Amino acid sequence: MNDVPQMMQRQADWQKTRAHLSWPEKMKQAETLRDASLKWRAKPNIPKPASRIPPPEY
Amino acid sequence: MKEVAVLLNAMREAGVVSDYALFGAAAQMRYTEAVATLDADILVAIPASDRLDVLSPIYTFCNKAGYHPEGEAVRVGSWPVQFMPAFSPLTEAAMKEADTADFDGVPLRVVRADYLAVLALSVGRAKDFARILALIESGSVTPDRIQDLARVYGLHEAWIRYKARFINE
Repeated sequence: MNDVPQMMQRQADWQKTRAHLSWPEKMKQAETLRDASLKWRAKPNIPKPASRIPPPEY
Repeated sequence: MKEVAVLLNAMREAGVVSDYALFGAAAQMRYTEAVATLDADILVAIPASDRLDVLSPIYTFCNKAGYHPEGEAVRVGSWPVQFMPAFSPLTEAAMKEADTADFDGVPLRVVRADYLAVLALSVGRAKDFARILALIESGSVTPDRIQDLARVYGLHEAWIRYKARFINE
């Protein structure tokens, strides 16, 4: 697994190339991101942080 | 967003606003990778009015064009659009110095990268700080240019703090 840093670097470089897409294309990507995000937010069964720690059971 | 551009240009031609410019995440994406955002933010200059509700003529215009309010925004196509009056020397300058970009064949006024960075500095949330770094990394603005503008708009101390925290190693 010694090539993991190189893989990460290649992934980062690839992601950076997306900055060179046209502005309208990036806006379409943003619309997709937003729609996915709104769907996740609408899901009722996302666990919420516990409001208090339950007492230990003895 | 093309529909938003058409609406904004019509609004300006009708004299409802004397100028406008897109800012925030949607404007940032002109320079950087796509980022997640829920709405489009628009700076507007409104002709002199003594109305208390300065955005009312904009909402009326949108309504007549078939675009209706949705919370604090107006839904235009797939985008909730939020209008913000240019309320300070910084926002006024950001709008005045905006570029007229081409969005799918429609002119769209958009705040330049240097002003986007300084506006983000003035707001100061975590996502605004990330926006400044993204703009610098994209090569669309330099730290020196941000520093110069920050000094003009009374944000020099904020910039020094930002630089110490995120740029100077």
